[in-house]
Amino acid sequence: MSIKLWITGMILATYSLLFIFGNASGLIKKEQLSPVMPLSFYQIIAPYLRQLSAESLYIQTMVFIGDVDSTIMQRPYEKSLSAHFFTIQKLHPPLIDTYYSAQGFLPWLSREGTLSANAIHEEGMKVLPTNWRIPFYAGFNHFYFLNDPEGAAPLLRKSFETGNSPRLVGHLASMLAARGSDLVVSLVWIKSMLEREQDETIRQRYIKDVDMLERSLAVQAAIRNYYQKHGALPTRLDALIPDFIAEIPVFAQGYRLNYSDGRLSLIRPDKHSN
Amino acid sequence: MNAWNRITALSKIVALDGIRKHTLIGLVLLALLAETFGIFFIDFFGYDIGRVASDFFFSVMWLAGLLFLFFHAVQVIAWDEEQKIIFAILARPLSRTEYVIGTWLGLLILMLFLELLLGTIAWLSLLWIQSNVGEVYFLTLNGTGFIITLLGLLLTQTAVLSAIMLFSGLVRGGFPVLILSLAYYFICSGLPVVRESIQRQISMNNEGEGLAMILKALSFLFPDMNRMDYKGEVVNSLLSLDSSAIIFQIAFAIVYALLMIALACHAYSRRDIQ
Repeated sequence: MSIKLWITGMILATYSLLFIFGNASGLIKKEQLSPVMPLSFYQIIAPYLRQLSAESLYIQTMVFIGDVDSTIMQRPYEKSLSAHFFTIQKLHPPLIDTYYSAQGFLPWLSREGTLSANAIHEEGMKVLPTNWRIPFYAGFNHFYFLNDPEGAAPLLRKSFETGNSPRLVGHLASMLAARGSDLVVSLVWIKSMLEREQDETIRQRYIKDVDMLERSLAVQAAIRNYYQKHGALPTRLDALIPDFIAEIPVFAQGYRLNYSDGRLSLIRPDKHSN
Repeated sequence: MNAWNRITALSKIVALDGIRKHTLIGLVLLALLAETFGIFFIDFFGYDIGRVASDFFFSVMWLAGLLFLFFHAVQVIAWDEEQKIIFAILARPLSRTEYVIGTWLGLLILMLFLELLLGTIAWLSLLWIQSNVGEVYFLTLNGTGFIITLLGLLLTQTAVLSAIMLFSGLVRGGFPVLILSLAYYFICSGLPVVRESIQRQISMNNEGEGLAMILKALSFLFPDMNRMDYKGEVVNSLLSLDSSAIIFQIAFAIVYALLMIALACHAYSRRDIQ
């Protein structure tokens, strides 16, 4: 056998050993998402292929996510994951999958992840103004992850105003505005929905909400009158009785008024508290 | 034989030579292979299937066109010169201008044939994909949008082909022409990105106006290759484009290509072919 064949055989055997060892020991397995190139890189190298670049990056990101062990608390890939979604969004803004997948992964990682997801949704709302899900996701993130019902309400309203969202979204927007102490906005919103609603069952629910909000607004007016007379806000709502209001309303189905730091808000029942 | 007949006769030879060298069949087979791979590519996306499919097919067409331009068109004139075929051609009653226009026309015919063939396959594939996925994943396939996108792709590549003809007239040998053509392509792609970044700098620090003017002047020679990327229109139910803007872009691309060819004719007339 010639020496050339021996050498080729030896190199092939060494390569095979390294390949098997690398796979078996996990040395080849990627623990980190490979860093994403700057946006301008994709724009310069292949401007016509920027959509394809974004889609390839999306696949790379999805494959990585599919391989991640979600039970591990340490997530060294978090920033890189946000950067990937940002780059994909900038390269190919109309691609809907970016927003849905970013929502599916980023907010659940951390507060920073939630803020990143909302920044991506913010851009998405400009490009896809008729898509009800993107503002809904952003609103959901404000409410659920950032504990900011006031921030959630206008986004959910935006989602409802696209005309494609389920009716529930409009109702939720109104009730979150009330929870964020924007009772007047909430009332106006519910009344406009009541005018447009045809379904009698839903109309009855809205009528109850209108009644609840009007009674809450009466309490708010009483607080204002108290302030005008005493030059200070009441410390408790009981202090309004009987001079400013006959009684503090009690609502059915777990709804209640919350008063703190001079702000009155209507709290919807917390389904998790029981 | 008048000039037009001589030009068309040469263009026919160039086109037939391209077919004889298996350029076209090779690129079509490569594109078909890539489009078959596209089915796996599209499978990674959960929602925007129509958009991803359309992006993918047009990207494949773009890549096939670029391969044709950089690895076939660049070589054609260099081959004529290196193999001394150009002497045999110019020994006939054919002026250098007619030689340039005839070669350009022949390459253009080949490129059009390639892209129209791939475009037809892409259109049929999109129809097939649309009929196989739900409406929510692929709502609209806009025929007008498809034609405009294809036209944009063809005109952009025609402009690149004309620039290649000019470079072939300016320098000797296939490799230098390839390097010049690639440099030209990257400058055209990168210039808008640099201009945008300088504009941002001006708006922030009020600095760099001189450089911005130079870059603007450079864009006269190196136009934005991304201007005629209308891929988004293929899946839009209503065209988001202004018809006057489209007409302007088409006119711009045609005049630019003609200018490059006129310069190429001039360069060839003054060139020492020995």
